Amino acid sequence: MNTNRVLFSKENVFVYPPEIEKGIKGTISLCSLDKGSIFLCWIPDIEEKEDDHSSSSSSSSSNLQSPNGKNPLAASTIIEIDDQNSWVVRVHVKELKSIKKYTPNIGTPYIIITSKKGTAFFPFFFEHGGVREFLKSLSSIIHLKKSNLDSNFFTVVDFSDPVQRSLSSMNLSDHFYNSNNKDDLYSSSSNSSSNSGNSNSRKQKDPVIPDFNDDLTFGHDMDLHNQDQEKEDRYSLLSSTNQLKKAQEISVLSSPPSSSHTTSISPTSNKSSSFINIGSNNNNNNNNNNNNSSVSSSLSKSTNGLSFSSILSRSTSPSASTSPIPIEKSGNNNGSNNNNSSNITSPIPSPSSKFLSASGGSDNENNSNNTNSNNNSNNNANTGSLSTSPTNKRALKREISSSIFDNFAKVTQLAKSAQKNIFEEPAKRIDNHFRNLIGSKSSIGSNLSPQNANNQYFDILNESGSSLNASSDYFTPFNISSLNFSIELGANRRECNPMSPSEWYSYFDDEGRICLANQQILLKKIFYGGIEESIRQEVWPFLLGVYSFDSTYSSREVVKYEKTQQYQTVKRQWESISCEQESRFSKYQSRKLLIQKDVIRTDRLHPMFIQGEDDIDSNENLRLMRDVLLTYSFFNFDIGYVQGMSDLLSPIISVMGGVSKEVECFWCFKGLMDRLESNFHKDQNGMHHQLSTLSKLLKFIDLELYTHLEANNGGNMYFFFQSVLICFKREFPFHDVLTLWEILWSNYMTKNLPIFMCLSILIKERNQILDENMAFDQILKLINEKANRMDLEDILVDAESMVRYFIIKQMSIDTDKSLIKLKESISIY
Amino acid sequence: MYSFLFKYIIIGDTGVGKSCLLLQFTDKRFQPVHDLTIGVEFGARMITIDNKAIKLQIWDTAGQESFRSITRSYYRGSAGALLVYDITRRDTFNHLTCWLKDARSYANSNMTIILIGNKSDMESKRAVSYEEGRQFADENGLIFLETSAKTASNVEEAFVNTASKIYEKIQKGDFDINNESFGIKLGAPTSKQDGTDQKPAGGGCCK
Repeated sequence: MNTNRVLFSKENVFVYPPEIEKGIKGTISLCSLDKGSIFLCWIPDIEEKEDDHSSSSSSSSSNLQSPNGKNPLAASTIIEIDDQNSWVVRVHVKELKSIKKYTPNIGTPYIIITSKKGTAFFPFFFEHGGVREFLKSLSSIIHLKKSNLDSNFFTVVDFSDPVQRSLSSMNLSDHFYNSNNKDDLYSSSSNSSSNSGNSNSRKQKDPVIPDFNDDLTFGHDMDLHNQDQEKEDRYSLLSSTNQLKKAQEISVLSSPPSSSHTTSISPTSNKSSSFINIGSNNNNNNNNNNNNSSVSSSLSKSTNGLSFSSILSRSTSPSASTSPIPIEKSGNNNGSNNNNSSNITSPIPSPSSKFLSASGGSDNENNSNNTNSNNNSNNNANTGSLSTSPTNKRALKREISSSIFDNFAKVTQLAKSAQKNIFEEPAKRIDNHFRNLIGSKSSIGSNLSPQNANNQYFDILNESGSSLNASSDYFTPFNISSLNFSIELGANRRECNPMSPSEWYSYFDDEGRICLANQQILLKKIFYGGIEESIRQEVWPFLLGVYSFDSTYSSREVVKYEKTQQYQTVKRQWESISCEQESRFSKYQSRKLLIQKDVIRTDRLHPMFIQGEDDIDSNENLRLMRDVLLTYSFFNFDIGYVQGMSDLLSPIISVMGGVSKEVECFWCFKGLMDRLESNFHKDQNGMHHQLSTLSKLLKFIDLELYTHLEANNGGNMYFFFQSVLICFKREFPFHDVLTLWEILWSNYMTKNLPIFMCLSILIKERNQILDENMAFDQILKLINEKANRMDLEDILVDAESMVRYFIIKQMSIDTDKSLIKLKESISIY
Repeated sequence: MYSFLFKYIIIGDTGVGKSCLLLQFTDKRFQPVHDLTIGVEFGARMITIDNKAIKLQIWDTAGQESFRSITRSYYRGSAGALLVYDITRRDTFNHLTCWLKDARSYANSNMTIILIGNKSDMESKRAVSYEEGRQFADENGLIFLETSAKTASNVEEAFVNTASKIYEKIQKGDFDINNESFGIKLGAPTSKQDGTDQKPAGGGCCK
């Protein structure tokens, strides 16, 4: 039960199915169900006012339940509608293929999501904004790759799919996705194309591609209209068979509904709605046998045949109650409608369909709890403002003009950088519309307000995400376990073995490159599992930037040669200082002395660094350490040598294998120093900056603890000085440090993981600190004593939870200036 | 339980033996090679002065100048400071002025400072004479001792003499004992019935 949680949730997201004039207000969310499957859900708020819908919308509701099993091509996706007006979308994030976002200057931003089966959902209109946040959340779960051609278009990169991986490695992905997407776009846009707010003004389109815009009545956004045309143009340019095939699919899928949106149960309109009712197929096993008035029961029966076991399996677990499907509406409707709808819904199910549904009688009971819905929302849906955006049009035209071959030629951008772009887009880019509408901070907490509790979906959310259910921006007391990320992330970590040699080698292409897509898999893999010891020596130089991932075997040889030369040159600079010279070069003398002094007291218990007769020369590895440090102090003279560097170097020497790899040791060390240089600045600005970021982060996450520390001279966070300076080198056993560092270097999600680790260490002790009213010195002692007694995995899991929490939370309080500042100091990828 | 808790800070150039002094004092052992200190480390021991149990809580700081901005923050709230130099390294003695200046500007004015010339066992390598050390101490109003963390010579004395001096100052009423910024805390009375003193400060630190 506790394993279900909401990773993101946004209210006031509307869908405008053709049959429903006013659109349906709902909540879009990303939620993780047990076993770690993450679903994208959209669930309608319950429901329209009854009088509203007993009249006109009753008929439309029956539309929605039309036997959508008629379309074999639409059988894939996991969408279902259930009862009157209750549309539900639930799709496993892995089923997503692409997302197109539209953020018109005026009007409601919306997104169009397509599934891997090529099905486009109805556009989701974020009436109160939140598209960016949604994408951000989503991309923290799956890899989103921004299209080269359209910065608003994102494809989902599925690294687990070998085909996609190899495609991606061929740098074709963009084209590939785009080409697929064009039809998706088309189809979705045809869904979404606007009638300028007037359902009568029809616009006939490409005859091949049926136009059922007419059924859509949203007066939201003229922009859509234009874009739609653009896409139509674009569609005509499509040439690949794939695309054509898709087009056919679409034409089947969306045979033109001649009927108006008021039609009831007309086959055509059914077809159009099949776009959403994809969960069905032609095996209408259950046919119209179920004349129950209880829609949900028929649904649950139908689910028995479903093959999408990952979803179904949940139905028996308590999480099933999250399953939005059977939103029992019958109580609100008049009997005839009920009968109608049940007749229609019953055929939906089919063995192969993946549509979501909660099965089992318990669900029905649960669902019936939801009948006491109060919904008045849809009224504001139609009132969106209209605008045309010529720029958009132009941009799209440009896009069209770029040929497929251009696409081939284009080197794909890193999906990573796409993600980065999403995240690092300045806060001001956030939709003004959103700001205007929201007016104030919208927080996850408010999204999960108890008012939503009558939505069964949120019942669970509230249960599992109770910690998010706070009214303020700050949550106190903070309990990390309540975040509920931990379990899943912990599982991630436990299940992920260190990267094996064979896996490592499998990432290289013939010439020795690791393509972008593979890099991402690789880094993610390292983030969760580290590296097997036997290949650290090979992998570390890549992680530390000695070699770039896209270098070839031969180019690396060149680099190696050059770096060797460079190293020798710098090394000779100090080696050539004679004793006589040295005696008059006190700065060098003392630097050398200090290094020698520190080298012998670095990891002096490690077998490689055990010192002989009080003499550095007794151990070649100690000599190596001195040489590298001294050379680095010449290579980077401004920084010189600062204590702590030897701690950073010794693991590198141990991994690289000692003296025979002197050059590699140096350049790896240099790479590490590039990451950490600011820690060693004389003014220690880097350290102060990080510690103050930590403090701000703590304030953001655990105000009570923060306040306590502030009042007890602990606001400076100095007890983490050593941890941050040398990346927990002394806080964990040597072998753990190697793993930890790989994890940090993977840069997965954030560069600032150490800060989040500090945070998780601190928060683990929060109760003791607060209960015992600990002052700074006591906390310092407490933290110092934790060294080598902490479970790395545990800390990492918590730290990752907090990164994710931060990502989600920061999006919801964009207006907080201090938070924006904080966001600037933390780089989230 | 203790009557008083005194906070000490150990300062001085890197490699003069600060951590070794602390280890010798708290654990009565010598480690020829000690991990270099980054940031701040921590030690504690009970001593007795005038039949009173006194807990010494000692902050051992990193010596390198780069960490100065961090270590400075530990001056505040210290009752005593051990300023250490290495009698075999002249430069560590030459830097004393700097250290003292730092201590004077960041510590409370009542802080008791003892100057320690460490490594007195290495007579053959001596680079700073006893007299020089003595003189510097006298000129600056510091207690002075030469110690050897290796042989434990004068180590106990260094810590205890400082404590005595602080205790003296307390007796004279130089401190507002209730003001913790002086680095002195009143322990819980041995008979735990004084309700007013119910907060045995630092009591948690007692093993």
